[in-house]
Amino acid sequence: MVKAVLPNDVVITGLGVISPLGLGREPLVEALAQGVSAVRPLTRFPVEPWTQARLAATVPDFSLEEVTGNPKESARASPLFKFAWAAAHLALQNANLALEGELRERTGIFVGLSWFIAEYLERLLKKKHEGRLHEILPIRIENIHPYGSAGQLSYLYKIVGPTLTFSAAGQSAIQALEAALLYFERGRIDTALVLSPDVLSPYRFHCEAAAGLVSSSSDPENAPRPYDQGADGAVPSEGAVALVLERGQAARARGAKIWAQVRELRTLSRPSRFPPAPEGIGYPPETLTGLLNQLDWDRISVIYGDGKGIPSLDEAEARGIRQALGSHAPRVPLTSVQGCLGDAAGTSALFQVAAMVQSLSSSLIFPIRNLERPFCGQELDYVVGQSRRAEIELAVGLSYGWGGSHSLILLQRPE
Amino acid sequence: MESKGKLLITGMGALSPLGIGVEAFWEALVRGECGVRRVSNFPVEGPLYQSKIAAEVPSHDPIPWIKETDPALEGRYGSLALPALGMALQDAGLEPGGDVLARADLYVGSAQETADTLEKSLDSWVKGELERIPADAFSRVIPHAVTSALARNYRIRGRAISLTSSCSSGVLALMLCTDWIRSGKSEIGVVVGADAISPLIFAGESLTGELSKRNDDPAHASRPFDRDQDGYIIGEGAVALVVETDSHAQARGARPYASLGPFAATTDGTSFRYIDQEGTQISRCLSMVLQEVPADRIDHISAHAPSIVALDRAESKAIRRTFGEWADRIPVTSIKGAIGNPSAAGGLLQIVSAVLGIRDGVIAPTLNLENPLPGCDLNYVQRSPRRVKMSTVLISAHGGGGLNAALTVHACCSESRRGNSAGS
Repeated sequence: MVKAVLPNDVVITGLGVISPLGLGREPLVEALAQGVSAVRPLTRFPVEPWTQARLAATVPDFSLEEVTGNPKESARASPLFKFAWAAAHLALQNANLALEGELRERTGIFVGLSWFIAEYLERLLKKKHEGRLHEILPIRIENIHPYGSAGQLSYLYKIVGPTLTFSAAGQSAIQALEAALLYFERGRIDTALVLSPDVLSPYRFHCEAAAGLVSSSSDPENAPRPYDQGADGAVPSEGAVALVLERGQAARARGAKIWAQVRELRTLSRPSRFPPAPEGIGYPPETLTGLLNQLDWDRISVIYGDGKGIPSLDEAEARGIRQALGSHAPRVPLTSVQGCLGDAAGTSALFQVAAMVQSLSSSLIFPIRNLERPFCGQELDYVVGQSRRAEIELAVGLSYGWGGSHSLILLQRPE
Repeated sequence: MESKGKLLITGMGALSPLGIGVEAFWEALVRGECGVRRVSNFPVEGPLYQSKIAAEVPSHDPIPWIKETDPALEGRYGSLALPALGMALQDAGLEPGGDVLARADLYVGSAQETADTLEKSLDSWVKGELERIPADAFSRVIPHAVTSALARNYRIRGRAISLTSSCSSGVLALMLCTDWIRSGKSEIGVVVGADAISPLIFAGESLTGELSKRNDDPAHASRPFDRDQDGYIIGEGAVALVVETDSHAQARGARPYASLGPFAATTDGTSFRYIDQEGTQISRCLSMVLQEVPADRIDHISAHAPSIVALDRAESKAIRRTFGEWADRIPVTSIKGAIGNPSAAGGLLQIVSAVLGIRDGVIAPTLNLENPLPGCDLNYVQRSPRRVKMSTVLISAHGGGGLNAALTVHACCSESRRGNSAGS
């Protein structure tokens, strides 16, 4: 059953991005527009001989202190929180929002996490086995606590409204966004910081590889391959995206730049086993019919699809879109950013939102990288090769999370 | 369209350190039993474990509850959540595969989620004992795999939400569920709050010195509001609640336990280890609830009070500041003396005890509270249960990192479930 939140005038006024394509929004936009890939041979940690997976898209090193101007707290940040804080800081800067007085009480933090503690636990366990756990005391509980990022941001920005963290795999960020929209609707908040960080740790990489989800290609120029019949898996990735949401009336009153209006968020659950169970790596195409039902396709200018580069998922998605759109299918452009960015677990859905926001503001649809032999090739309007110019009023984003969670977000260009 | 009717609790299930099932928990709580013992599920020898006691759930068999095998349910976290959810659904008269659960949403809140499973898997990985990571590791360590497996097992086909917000995860999951229903998007939801003790996190907490070291006297180790406390006790457990609108419950003939009142949530905005001893944001949270339920309607306050000096004192001060002199009239208790701090299950166990307390007219005592801490001056229920006819209970919940939540639970109606012999 499809469930929907139709927020009444909630807008995006801040966007902060830490991606494998660089620090901030600009390098992301430039690279996506050119179809430049962030995928490289993995060098951060050794790749085990038993897996053929060799590629990843990792965030280039950057100074958190330079971003935040806070040397003391920056030095303490875990790799995960480094991403989270940098993205949040950039988003708040971008929104030009002063969190003061009563607004701190009316602001909520909503975080989506997928692989939250593997990296820190790995280090802890190594010390434990070496009998040297005491060397890293005091254990920074905020670094092993799933709630740690939200709690630390609450402290650093003195945000005292509700804070929630979600851990729904690839739909973590969507559940965080959905909760924020619900809290706007219930009158609990007037501003929300929604963010999703994910970091690529050795354990995560090898778990995903062992489950058969990762491309075994050794050619970074040709993987991953969203919607391509020759694809052989996703490329693990990482990063963070943060959004500042406000009530439109308040944003307009303070003269804020409005990136997009959130028109609708739909979710659909078809609980399934996680990979490597076969039913966990695919779904019936008709699953998407309900999710995509009753949308005004004459006004929708683009679909940002999931397109992980995992053939069974991408084929189901392509067939589902074709089936749901019917006669509209050949004329609604379909694209995916995962060909350039890889699969950043929970963060991918917000990378997609960031791309949608940029499309709305720049009238540019970013191309799919590495798509040569598409599923449903003649029946869908894939954007390939180069960016496409188009007046975009409404953009749809589709995302999928392990366990059978689907979502659709509808963004509108601000008036 | 907004739902204006009452929201009812129509099913409850629990695995707690005091026993299996909500009645076993409640009866032991009222009798003043304690679930804190020497840790038995993993070795606690050596310098890593200065504290060797915890409130573990007694042995139980999750197998009868399994309808669809799934590796995600094999870890301790999953094996606690599974029976609790099954008990709540049975209690509410909901059949897996039925129309109602096909429409219901599932909200699972947990502080540490699959940390126990992840730790075991990582342990082998770090030691190099595994030639390779097993293919199904992915499906065991991702927290949402447990949520998804629970939904599949009981054929719950609405939204499957995984929430992790410290020890208040269970209560915040319930808050999300009620907000979703009150906004008219659904008529029924099922909420689970569950946490299992993970050896490494237990060791980490032990090394920080925040756990009680009364290893020779576990029954007196968890001492909410008491001046002789020396730390808190890690607990574990799982609680599930079925929540639905009164019209939905009535239409299917469900018998309610109680109704849910307003919720509020705030955050301290302090660093992770620092507790605002004035309880400023706890007080603001309680005040937000009192905007909808007047103070003179509150018959009892179920406090979080986990046996941490700063937090117990902050909560006491917050209640005093919020209620003023009226606080002297309101009995306050904390159930953590009996069950330690079972993380996400803790807040929901407070709700279970409030619901059954209203039913039976009994407030369970704050175990081991003998001499209140300086600055703690409330009307605590000490030593023995107190018989009080109650209509409204205020729940105060808290999570590490400065999360606060509050809500009220109300006696609902003539057709509600009748009392039993607990506490008599």
